[in-house]
Amino acid sequence: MRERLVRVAGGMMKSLSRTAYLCVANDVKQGSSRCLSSVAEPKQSNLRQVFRTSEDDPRAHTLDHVGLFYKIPETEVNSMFKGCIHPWHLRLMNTFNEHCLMVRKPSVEVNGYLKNMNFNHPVPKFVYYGRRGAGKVCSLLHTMHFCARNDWIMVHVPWAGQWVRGWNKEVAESTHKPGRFDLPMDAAEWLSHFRIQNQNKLKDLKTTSEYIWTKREKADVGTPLDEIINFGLNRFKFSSDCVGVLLKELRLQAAEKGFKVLVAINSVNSFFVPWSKENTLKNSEKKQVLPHEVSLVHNFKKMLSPTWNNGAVVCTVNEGSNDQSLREDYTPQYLLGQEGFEWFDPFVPILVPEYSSTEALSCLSYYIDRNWIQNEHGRTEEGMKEIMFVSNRNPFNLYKVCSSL
Amino acid sequence: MAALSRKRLTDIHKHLINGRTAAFARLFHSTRLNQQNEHSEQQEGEFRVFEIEGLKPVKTERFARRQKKKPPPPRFRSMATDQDWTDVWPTASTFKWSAVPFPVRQGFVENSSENEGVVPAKYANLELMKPPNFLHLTPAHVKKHCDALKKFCTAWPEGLETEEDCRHHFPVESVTSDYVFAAPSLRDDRARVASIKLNLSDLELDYHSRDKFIRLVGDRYNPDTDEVIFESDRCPLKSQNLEYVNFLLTAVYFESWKREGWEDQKELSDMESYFWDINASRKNMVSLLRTIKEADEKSPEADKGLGYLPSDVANEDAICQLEEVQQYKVAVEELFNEGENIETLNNYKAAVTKLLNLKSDAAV
Repeated sequence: MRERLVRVAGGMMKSLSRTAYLCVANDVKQGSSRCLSSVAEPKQSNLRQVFRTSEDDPRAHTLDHVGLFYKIPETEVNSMFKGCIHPWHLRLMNTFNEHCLMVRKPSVEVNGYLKNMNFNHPVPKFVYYGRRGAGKVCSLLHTMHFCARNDWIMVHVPWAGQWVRGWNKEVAESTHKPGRFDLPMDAAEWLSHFRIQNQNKLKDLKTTSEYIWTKREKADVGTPLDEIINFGLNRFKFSSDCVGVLLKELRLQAAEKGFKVLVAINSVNSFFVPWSKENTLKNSEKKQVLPHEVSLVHNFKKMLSPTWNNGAVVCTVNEGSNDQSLREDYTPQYLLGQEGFEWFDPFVPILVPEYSSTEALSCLSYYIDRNWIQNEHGRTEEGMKEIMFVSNRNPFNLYKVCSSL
Repeated sequence: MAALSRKRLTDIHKHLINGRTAAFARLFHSTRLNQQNEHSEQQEGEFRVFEIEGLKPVKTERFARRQKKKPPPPRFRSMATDQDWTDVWPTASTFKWSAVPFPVRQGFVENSSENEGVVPAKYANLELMKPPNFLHLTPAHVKKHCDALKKFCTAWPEGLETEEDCRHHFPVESVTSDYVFAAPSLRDDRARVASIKLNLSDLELDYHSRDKFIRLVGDRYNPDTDEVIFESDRCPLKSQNLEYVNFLLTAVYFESWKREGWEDQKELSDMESYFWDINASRKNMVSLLRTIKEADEKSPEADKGLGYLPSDVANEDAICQLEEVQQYKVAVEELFNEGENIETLNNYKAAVTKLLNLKSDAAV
């Protein structure tokens, strides 16, 4: 019954009506840090805009849920979403004492594609693009959540730009192939990220070929992938190679063993566009290391080629990861460049727009509900309109504007 | 008695006349003196009263001034609404406020105290007299001029009614200028410049020669209007320059039809625009479709496979001629040649989802 109510309300909200409805979700804990101060309850405490859905399963999200917030369980935040959420966003979520994401159309659309896709075909590729702060990463999170609930294996890169820049980062000559460069620390960090994200999913996976690290050390056929990860974490020297092995085995076994793999890379354009600022990576000869020379990038680029199946690639392109001179547009082909486009082509570009007025209203109602907006004027209809105008309904701008109210 | 009385009478008369003259003389002195005298006569034997000047109103006599002649009302007040304007303003002349029958304001008002903050009207307005006006070039004037010139004109040639007709029959337009002025010399340097203008579409060119023509002429070609302009001032005479630009056109035209050996070495980066057929995209696409075909044959899934693929995918050209692939090709070429915008990206998205048979319930 409650579910039906939410859906009906969602449908009404689509027609942009601004009537207040009875709040359906009443399991909200009023315990945010701001609530601790002696702030009087708002006047419209029992009449609220519907901005929540009790449907916590992203698999069940449809267009009717667009603009509504759903709650991510604490366990998943600490496993699946560990290190995935922007620090500012995570801080906000912690302040609110709950981890809520808004269901938005781009991610619902991509989830729909993933639902209906043919897993015998080579991996399809989806690229989220949009203005800064429009919610590309949050759309990616929603898709990841959808896949995690379907027991997919996550191959997630929180920010690809990290692998092509860094002050005084350790850059070692590749142990696998001369001319390439390893980033031992980054590779180890990613391995642990991978392990945390895919707890309990790697048990039955074993290597299918022999890998020789040194004269004395090797991984025989049938070594569990867990052990490969452990080896990479113990021997940083080989961590990049372990990443390569892991990805290769996933590609090979995805079809045979029948598990599904989601490759989710944030700001994938860093793989193709050299970063030439001062903090670019330099090798021992103090020469710039280009992205394609980094073994991590090289290995991950293989995941983008349509040579394997039973998986999907969902990426975001981000203008902030490009050089200053290449930030004029936010469209995928411009950001990826010719080489990147050829790697991705054919891909499905998915635009992540700014909030619609319904979504912005829902977000503001959520902020008001969490006592994030305490200014009396900000809680009125006129105030909300003003906030929407000032922030241009850009999600990040909206947060910035509201954080001082 | 009579004699005496006559004598007395004459004396009295005399006396009277003298007294009168004395009185007249006194009258002529001044009115104030007269008054004082009158006063003194009234209060004879007492002190004279001191009159304070300005205490009592003083009657003064004024000479009647001759009335100034009033200027006639401005001419525009008495103008008829259906008058012939060309008679009022026959030739170019400075703005005359009284002859212009419409209200007009001009000038700068610095603040609200100046002229009560209102821009000055036309009366005695210097700002209206400074700029040249076109009151002598109204349609009525032009019509009169044309009527006067008509008898010197010949009939317009038949078949050249529209601009398009003119361009079709006379595709090359040459422009030269003559300069007339009063100076010791009749020569003017600028008169030697000659230029010709033509539309590129009027030339008979194929794809290669058109591309080469555009590359050869450089910025003389305007892609927006499709016009080519050759201009020359290198020769001393106008006729020489005109001949030279004609030569240029001929030379460039025949040169662009030639195909040199080195032109075949054109690489992908030299291409004037994006061609899907020679780019990596086509190769990737064909191999992808072949892989998909293989997968479909191995494990056919109704509704989720690519139904449009032919049973034999060995022929690369046949694959590329498929409708879905052609649509995709157009979308990619648009994406590169037109640039990325919402429309081309949506076209590309639609083409890719159709090509790979991707479906979503939430897709538009």
